[in-house]
Amino acid sequence: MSIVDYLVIYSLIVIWITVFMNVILVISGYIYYSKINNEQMDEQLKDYPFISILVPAHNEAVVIKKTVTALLELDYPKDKYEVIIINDNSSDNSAQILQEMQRNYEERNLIVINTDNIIGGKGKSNALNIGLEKSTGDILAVYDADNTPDRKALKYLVQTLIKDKSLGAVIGKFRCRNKDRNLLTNFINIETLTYQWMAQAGRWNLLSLCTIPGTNFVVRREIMNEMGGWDTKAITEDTEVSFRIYRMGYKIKFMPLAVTYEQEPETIKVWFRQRNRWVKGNIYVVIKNLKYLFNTKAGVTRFDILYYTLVYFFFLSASLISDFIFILGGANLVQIHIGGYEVILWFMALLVFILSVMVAISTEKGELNFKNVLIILLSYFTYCKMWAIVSVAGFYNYIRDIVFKREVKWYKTERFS
Amino acid sequence: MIYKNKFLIYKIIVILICFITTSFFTGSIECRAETNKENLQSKGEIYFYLDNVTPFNSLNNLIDEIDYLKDNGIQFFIEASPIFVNQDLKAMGRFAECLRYAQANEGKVILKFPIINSKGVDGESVSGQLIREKVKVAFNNYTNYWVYPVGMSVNESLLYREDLKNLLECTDTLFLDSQDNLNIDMNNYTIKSYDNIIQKINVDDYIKNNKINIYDKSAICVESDCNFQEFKKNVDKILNKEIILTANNRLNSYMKFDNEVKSNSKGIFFNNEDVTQQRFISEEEYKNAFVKEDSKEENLVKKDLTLSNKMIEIVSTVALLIFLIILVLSKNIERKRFFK
Repeated sequence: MSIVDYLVIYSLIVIWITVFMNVILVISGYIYYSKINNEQMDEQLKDYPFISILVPAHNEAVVIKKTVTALLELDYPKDKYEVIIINDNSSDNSAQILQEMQRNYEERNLIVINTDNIIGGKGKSNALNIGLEKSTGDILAVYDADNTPDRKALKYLVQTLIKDKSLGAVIGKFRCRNKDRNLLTNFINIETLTYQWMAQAGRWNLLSLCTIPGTNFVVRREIMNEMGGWDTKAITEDTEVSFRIYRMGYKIKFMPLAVTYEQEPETIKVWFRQRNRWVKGNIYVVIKNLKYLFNTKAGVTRFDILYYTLVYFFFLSASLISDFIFILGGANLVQIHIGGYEVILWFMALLVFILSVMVAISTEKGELNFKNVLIILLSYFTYCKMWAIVSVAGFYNYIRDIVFKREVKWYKTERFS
Repeated sequence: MIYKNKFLIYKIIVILICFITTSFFTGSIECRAETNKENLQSKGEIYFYLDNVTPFNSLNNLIDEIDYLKDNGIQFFIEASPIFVNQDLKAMGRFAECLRYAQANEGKVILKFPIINSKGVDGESVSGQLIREKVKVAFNNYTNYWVYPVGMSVNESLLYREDLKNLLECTDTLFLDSQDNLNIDMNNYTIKSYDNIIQKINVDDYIKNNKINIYDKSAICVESDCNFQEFKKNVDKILNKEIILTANNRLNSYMKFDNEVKSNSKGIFFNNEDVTQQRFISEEEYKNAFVKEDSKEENLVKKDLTLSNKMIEIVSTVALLIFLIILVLSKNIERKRFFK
C-alpha cells in the first residue's frame, strides 16, 4: 500500500469516528431538549443571592448602552445584583456613554471601572480579574459587551446553580441577534445552535460535562477565588476555566432556558480573526491539559481533552487530507488501492451531517425551514471548508507565537452598529 | 439617430456578406463531397501504406515521415518487419518507440510476413509450423512493447501454401503483394474467406494505372526506406492527384495467436482491453510503467474496506432513520407550540 492509501484510511477512520461521536451527541442533546422542555422553572426564588455581573468591554461604544440597559432591566431584585463594566483601555467614547448611564441609573448598582494601558488592555481574562477584585457578589455572572439577555436569564441561571451544590457554574444559551444580516450570519446562527444542542446539551446529558461559552453564565465566587481568577495567558479563558472547575470536582450545567442574544461577525475578516483566536486558544488549552488525559483524577474532562484533540488535530487534518486526495485523485495525480471505497460513503457522511444539523436546529422555534436546510447543505461545501482554513491558520499562528515567543494578543471582535 | 441607423445598415451589410460567403463555401463543399463520393465509388477503399519499415531504417527519418503524414491528415498503415531475436536490445526499444509514435499519430501496424529461405540453416525445408511459431513470437514481441499489429502483409503466392493456411488464418486482414504471373491452378485450392484482402499497389503504378486492381480494397504503398525528400515527393503525388484516402479506422480487423488484437472504429483492443494510444508513449514512460507494474504486483494485497464500509453504511442508515424520527417529532412539538 502506498502512503496515499494509509492517509485515506487515516482520514476515513478519523472522520467517521467524529461523525458517529457527533451523532451520539446530537441524539443525547435532543433527549436533554425533551427533558428541559417539560421542566418548570420557579418564577420566584425563596432566596436571592447577591450577584455580580461582570462585563468586560474594550471599545464597545457601539453596543454597550443596549447591553447595560438590558442588564439593568433583568427580572431579578434590583438590590440583589450589581453590574460591573470593566471599560478596558477603550479609545472610543465608551467612558462617556457609561458615565451618562451611571447618572441616569444613579439608584442602581452600576459600577464602571475605567482602566488604562498600564493595568488594563491585556485581554478579557485580565479585565475579568479586575472586575472580580471589585465585585462583592456570592455568585458571579459574566456577559459579553454585545449581549442582550432575556429578562429571566439570570434568574434561571442562578436558581439552577443554587439548587445543586455539585454545580460550579451554569451556562445559558446564546442566540444570534443578527442572523438574517447576510449568508455568513446565517451560517453562524446554524453553527451556534448546533454547537449548543450537540456539544453542550449532548455532553451534559451524556457525561454531565459542559464548557463555559464566555458569556451568559454564572459561577460560584469561591471557586474563582480558589483558582486565583482567570488565566491571563489563555485567550479562550472560558474553556480554560471550565477544565479547572471540573478538576476541582464541580460540574458545569447547561440551562438552555436562560437565553442571551449576541452579535455575530458580519464580515469574513472579522469572523476569521475571531475564529483564529478561538483555534489558538483551544490549542493552548488542549496542550495545557494534555497531561491529564491519562490521569483518572481529571474525570470526565478527559473526554473533553480527547474531543478537542480529535476535532482540532485529527479531524481537521483528516478533513484536509481527504480534500487534498480528492483533488489530486481528480487530477489523476494519485491512485488509491483501497477496495470498497465508494461514493456512497461520502454521500452518507453528507446526509448524516445535514440531518444531524437539522435535528439540532429543530429545537428552536421556526429554525427548521427550507431556507435553513439549503444553508446547511451549502455550509458543508463552504463554511466547513472555511473552518478548515482558519484552523490551519490558527495552528500555524500558535506555533509561530511559540517559536518567536510572541506575546499572546487577545483580538476583540469588531462590533457592527 | 443618424449614427444609430448607419450602424444598423453596416450591421445588415456585414450579415449579408457573411451569409453569401457561407452559402458559397457550403455550396462548394457539397460539390466537392459529391465528386469525392464518385471517386470512392469508382475505386473502392484506398488506404495509405508505409512500406518496408525495419529496425535498420533511419528512425529519425521514420519519425519525419510520420510527422509529414500527420501534418497532411493522412491516416496510414505502417508495415513492420517481424523480430524474433534480440528483442531485449536497446535498438528494439527504440524501434518500438517509433512504432508507438506512429500509433499515436493515426498509424496502424501491419506485421510483415517473414522472408522464407527455401531451406533452413540445417538444410531442412522450413515447415509452416515453424513459421507460425516465429510469427507468433514476433507478434507477442510487438504487443509486449505496446505495438499492436492489426493485420499481416503477405506475398500472394503464400496464400496457396497448404502448410501456411493455419498461420494466415490468425488474421482476417491481409495486405497482398500481388503477383501477376502466379503459376497456380486456382481450382485445386480453397482458402479462407478473408474480411479484408487489400491489394498493395506502388504509388507510381497506382497513379499511372499500371496495376490492375482486382480487389475492392487497395493500399497505395510508399517506400519508407528512402530519403525524406523522396518520401515527400511520393506522398505529394497522392495529395496532388487528390486521391481520397480511406481512414484506417474504417477497417475492422483482428489478429490472434494466444493474445488477440482487434481494431475497429472505436480503437484498438488487446484482449478486449482498450489500448488505443491517444498520445505518444516514450521509451522512458514505457519502462517506468513496468516499474509501476512490478510494484503493483508487490502490492497485490490491497486493503479492502468493503466490510467495514458496509458497517458504516448500516450504522449511518440507522442514525439517519433516528434523525428522521426526531425531525417528525420536532415538527409535531412545534405545531403544538403554535396552537397553544
